[in-house]
Amino acid sequence: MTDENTCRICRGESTPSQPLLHPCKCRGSIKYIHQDCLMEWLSHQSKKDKKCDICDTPYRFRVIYDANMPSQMPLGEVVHRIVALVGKTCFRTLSFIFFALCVAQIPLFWKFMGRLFTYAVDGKMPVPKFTARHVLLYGAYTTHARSGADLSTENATLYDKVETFFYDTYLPGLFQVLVFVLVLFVVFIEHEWVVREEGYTKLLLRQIGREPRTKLADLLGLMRENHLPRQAGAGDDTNTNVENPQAANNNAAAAAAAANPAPNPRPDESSLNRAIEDLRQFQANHRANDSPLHRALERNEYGDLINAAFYDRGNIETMNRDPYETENTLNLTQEAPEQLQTIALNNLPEDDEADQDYVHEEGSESESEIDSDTDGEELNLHDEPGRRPHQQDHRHNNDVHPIEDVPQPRNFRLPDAINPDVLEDETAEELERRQNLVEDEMMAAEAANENIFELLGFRFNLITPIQLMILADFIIVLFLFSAYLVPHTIGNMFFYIYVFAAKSFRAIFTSLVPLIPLLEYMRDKFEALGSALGAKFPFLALVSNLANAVIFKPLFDAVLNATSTSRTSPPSLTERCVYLGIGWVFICNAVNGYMKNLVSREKPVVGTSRKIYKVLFRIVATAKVFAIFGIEIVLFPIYCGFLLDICLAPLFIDQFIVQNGAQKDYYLLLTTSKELGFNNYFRVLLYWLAGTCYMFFIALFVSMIRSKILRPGVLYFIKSPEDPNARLIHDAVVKPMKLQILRILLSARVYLTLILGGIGAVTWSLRFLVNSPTAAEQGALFPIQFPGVIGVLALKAILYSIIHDREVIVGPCQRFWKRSFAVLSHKLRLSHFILDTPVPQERGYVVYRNLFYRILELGVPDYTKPMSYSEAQATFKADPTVIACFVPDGTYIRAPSSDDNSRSFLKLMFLPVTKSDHPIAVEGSNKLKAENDDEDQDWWDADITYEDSYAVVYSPPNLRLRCFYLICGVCLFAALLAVCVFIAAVILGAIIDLTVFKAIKMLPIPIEEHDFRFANMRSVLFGLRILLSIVAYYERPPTPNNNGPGGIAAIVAPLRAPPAELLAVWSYLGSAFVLFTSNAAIFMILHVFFIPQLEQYFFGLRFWLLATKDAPAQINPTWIGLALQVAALPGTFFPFVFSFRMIPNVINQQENVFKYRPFYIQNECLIYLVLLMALEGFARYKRVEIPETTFIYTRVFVTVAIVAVRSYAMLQVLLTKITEQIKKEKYVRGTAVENIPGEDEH
Amino acid sequence: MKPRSTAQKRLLKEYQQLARDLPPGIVAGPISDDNLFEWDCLLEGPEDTPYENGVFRAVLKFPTDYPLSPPLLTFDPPLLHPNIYEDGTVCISILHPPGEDPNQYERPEERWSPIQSVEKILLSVVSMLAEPNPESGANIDACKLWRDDRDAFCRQVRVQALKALGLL
Repeated sequence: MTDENTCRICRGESTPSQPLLHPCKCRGSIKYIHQDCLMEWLSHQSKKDKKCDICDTPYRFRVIYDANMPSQMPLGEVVHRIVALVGKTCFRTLSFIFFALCVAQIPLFWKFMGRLFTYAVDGKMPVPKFTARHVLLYGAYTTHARSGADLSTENATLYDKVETFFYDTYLPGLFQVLVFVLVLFVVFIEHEWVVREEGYTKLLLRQIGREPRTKLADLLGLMRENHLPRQAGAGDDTNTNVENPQAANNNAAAAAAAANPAPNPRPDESSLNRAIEDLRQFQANHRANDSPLHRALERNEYGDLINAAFYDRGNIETMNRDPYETENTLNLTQEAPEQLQTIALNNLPEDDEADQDYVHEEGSESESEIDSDTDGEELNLHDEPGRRPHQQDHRHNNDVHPIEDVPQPRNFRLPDAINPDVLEDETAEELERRQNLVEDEMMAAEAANENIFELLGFRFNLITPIQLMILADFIIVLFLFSAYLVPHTIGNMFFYIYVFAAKSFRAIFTSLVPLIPLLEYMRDKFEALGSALGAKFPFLALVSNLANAVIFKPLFDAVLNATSTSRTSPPSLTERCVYLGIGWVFICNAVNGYMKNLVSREKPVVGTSRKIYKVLFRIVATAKVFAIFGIEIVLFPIYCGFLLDICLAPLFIDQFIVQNGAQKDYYLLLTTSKELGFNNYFRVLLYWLAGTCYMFFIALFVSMIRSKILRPGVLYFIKSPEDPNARLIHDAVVKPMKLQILRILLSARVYLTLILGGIGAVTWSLRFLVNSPTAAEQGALFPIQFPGVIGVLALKAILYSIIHDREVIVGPCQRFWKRSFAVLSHKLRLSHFILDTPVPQERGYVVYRNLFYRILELGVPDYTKPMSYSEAQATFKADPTVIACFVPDGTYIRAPSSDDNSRSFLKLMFLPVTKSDHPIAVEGSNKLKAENDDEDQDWWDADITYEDSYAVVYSPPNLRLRCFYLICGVCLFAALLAVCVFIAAVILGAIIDLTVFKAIKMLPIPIEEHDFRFANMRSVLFGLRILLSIVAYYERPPTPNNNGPGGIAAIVAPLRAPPAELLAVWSYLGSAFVLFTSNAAIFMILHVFFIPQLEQYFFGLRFWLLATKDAPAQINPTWIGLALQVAALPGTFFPFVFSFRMIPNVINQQENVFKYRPFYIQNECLIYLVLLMALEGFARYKRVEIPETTFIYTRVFVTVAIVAVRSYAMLQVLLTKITEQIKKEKYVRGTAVENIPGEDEH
Repeated sequence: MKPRSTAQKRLLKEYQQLARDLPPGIVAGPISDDNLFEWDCLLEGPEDTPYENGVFRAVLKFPTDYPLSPPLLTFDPPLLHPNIYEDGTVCISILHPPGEDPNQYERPEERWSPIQSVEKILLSVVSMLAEPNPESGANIDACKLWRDDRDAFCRQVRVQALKALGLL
């Protein structure tokens, strides 16, 4: 050890020019370091955070400025920079606005295009008095603005027009475009899944057969014949290179040849011949072996088995461990010019292919989309010599013509797989631009705020937005044309032909296809049914009228309208759906027929038809998967939500039939009742959410009883979500559409029963019990009232705490269900079958002496003496003391004991056996052989290995019926539980609610009056919270310290602090929310209230007119108002935008948030509040009326103060930044590491 | 020869320091005065291990940007050990270039850093000989042998040790 201190990197001592520093907390021999050494090490390490490797102390750097730096930057420089900044900002703002405009026009374009196409299809304006401009702007169905003004006359104000345009054109357009983009995105993802799916390729090859492949050996032979006589000298290289692929093919002989580049540089031709012979022999030999790799390569020749390539890439790489091989070859080119041709030959196929791909790529976008995976795959291969063999196998044909000049092996770097439909902006330029962007970003890391835009693919110039716009609009036109105009036209034509035919040959035609009379008859019948029912059964009338109004009437009308020869009104939405549906059916049938035609010929299908079929097949498979997933994930929950809506209606709606003038309005749905006035999109979303929650809940319940209560295998027919064999995509691709639709329909029926039977029946019957839906007055329990605004806030808080404490519910629920199942199964004698707990007493039934004993279930039979029914009767006669006898019946069966058995195995189940598993030949139960004839017709690809297992369990007679009863019983128990909890919650909650209400009323806070005799949602939630606390009290985990009940603390225990991470996330979100809202509030207050008030006071005008009872909110544009609004922007809008930028910072530095930010911003609001309160207090104290003008002056003062303070602060920040910038650019001499303070003493 | 580069300066320093107080069982120094970047080392096998009583020669090759990059240590002749490749290269975390391990096996502070030195490397290698780490094995056969058949492993190592001493 030296006594002297040394640098920990170079071990050098301290010198005057290179003093030793100690910038971190390390001590001892590694304490000191030279500045230069540290810098070198940091740059070598190239880590972002500059800190010590050992003690993790971040190094602190000090910027060294020039000694003669002026304390004040030159004014000219500062001004120059401010001007430059303003110019840059202006340009950026302009370009941003331009970009925003280009994006904003997309929904408009969509809507316009759609309308244009609609009128093109219709051939005329929908309503004669509309002008084309009107129709484009407001749509064909809108005649009046929301305020009631007729849009086609001069009555309508500009505001009316803008409002109508926004609500009837722009907003729907925006929604539709968003949905369109979402759908495209989903389709793209599913397409990726589908083409990677093994079943897809199997199915495809099943349809079109395997492509006859070119044998490598033949190819070699051909090559030899063509070239070797002339290029004998190059034989060795050819041999080595071309044989490489086969080396990858586990060929021992060829591998040996390939792995050891022959020492002899110029072997004679015979060696090559021998190698080729070897190769051929090998292929013949190994065809049977068919190793996975071999198969993969073989399949890969078809070019569509991308996944195979993925699997086997690793193998190929490991087998070709000689990356220098190609390099060697290339070196040889320089040495021996006569060998060039061979190399050319080697390079030819890939270049050729690459060229093709390149053309392909540029040629047509749709094709490139379809081939993108393949292209990507092949292109990736180009760079790597190790993959060359693989690539050569890619050759589709063997017409390799030699070329005399040598093409340099080019290294294409094509853009990755592009899908023009999905990411509309993903063009080649875009990608290139992005790469530039990445570089830019690296260079200019300081521009953190700009990166937000740049990451979104936005760059400040004026051309990109236009390109994007044109691309997007082109896609829209293309899509609307093919998906809307064409099918609609076909549908129109269909009806046109039908009407024409009906007109011409009315007599024959109507007797053959009596569509119209039938429809008319059905419609009339339906209406008659509704009115006939209405007299006697108001509820049934309700249902039938609703169904008629929502579903049947529009449909019938649409068809009748379409087929009528003289029409006046424009086609309704339903009618258009009918047209489109028919058009799509035609198109689908045509495609289907064409595809069938393509594969009807001899297999394998080759050439163009093969390519076409592949493309079509890809589209069809994706569409199929999309349809099935769409139905399952979107439509099905919506359907469930709709059913739930029906079931919840009796809880909340006070009247179902409302006399509205002459006609009656029917309310069967919660979402159609007037007070809730839902937007349709929102309604569907709500349905979807509710349905998804419900389905999720059911799934949770099923998995709970499956894992905790039931014998494994009872629910064999419901797929477990944990099933390792589940292959969703595979099943969706491979199983026939019909089967899947049937399956979905089945589950639709199950859910219909579950929801309507399990929930609807309970709610509706409860409602009828409490007060009839036709009754006008309010019942005590129903309808449940919705709380007011304050109630909603309380509701949110309570809901949160309920959700938070949901874990406590799980235990009692499980126990409840365990008990219920035990009771039910025992009563139904199913304990062995359902719960796997054999109960000997269940193996028969009890015969009682007479009905009296039977009903009261008096007397216990002697289970040790089982007897038959007749014997029992005889016993009763013989012995009067015997009340009950035990008569065994039923049998043992084989039942599946695992949830993932194979289908074929399940067909052998439920076979009656003895207790020791010997089959009993029961009359008529020939199940063993029964199912054999329709084996696996469902879907042919069932190659998963299942673990089939079964158990022998007792089955009482009428097993199916008993199971059905069991399900009914479970439903009953569920309903009982729900009703009990609900009523308990109502009773408990009402007390709390009343107390809280009375307490609030004592405070000077306005609160709406409420009748506490009726149930309301708030009290229900309060009640649930109390119930939950009670449950939590009994469910609390036993702690070693606290065994007994802990009083109130135990009840509050579930309210204990949530996990730290959750708290952190919430506080992040909370502070972000505070930041955002406080700024938004300032923005709103200033612009909507203060400024217009000032304006009114000084100029007598108002920019914004607030909504009053008589008139809606309106804009009253005046120049002065506009000027005032704009003038206030620097103080309002920029901080508002700034608050967005603050949010990420906030999330990064949680502690800072609480220190100053939100409070700082809120302070400005507080100024106003404090002033107002002071005024108010002053007035109260002096008992004087404060004139309105005083308030106005207060506001003036506050507004000016806020704007001034903010502007000043912004200017200050700007100046500081610019000064820093100038300093950095002009006067920086370098950086120095700073010592850790307090460590100087040795 | 006058040292010019940082690496040369540092290597010279390290050599001087190592020469001043040599750890027991370790001898190391540059092969020649002209080339400080290649060192010859002799390591004594640690006691109570199969390597006991053996003396093993290893070559340290330093990169030109030493100490920013770690040196390479190769046993010549190769030694049977789970953490030594078949060509004799030692695989030990202290000799791995700095930064995050892509496999997340080694923490960054276990890897090379300029504060390490030749002495520490050699000490680490001696302790590696005493306690192999089969979890990040370099020689699969040796790993297997060490794990499954310790006796055979010890026997082979002893033979190697004897060979290295020229006794066999």
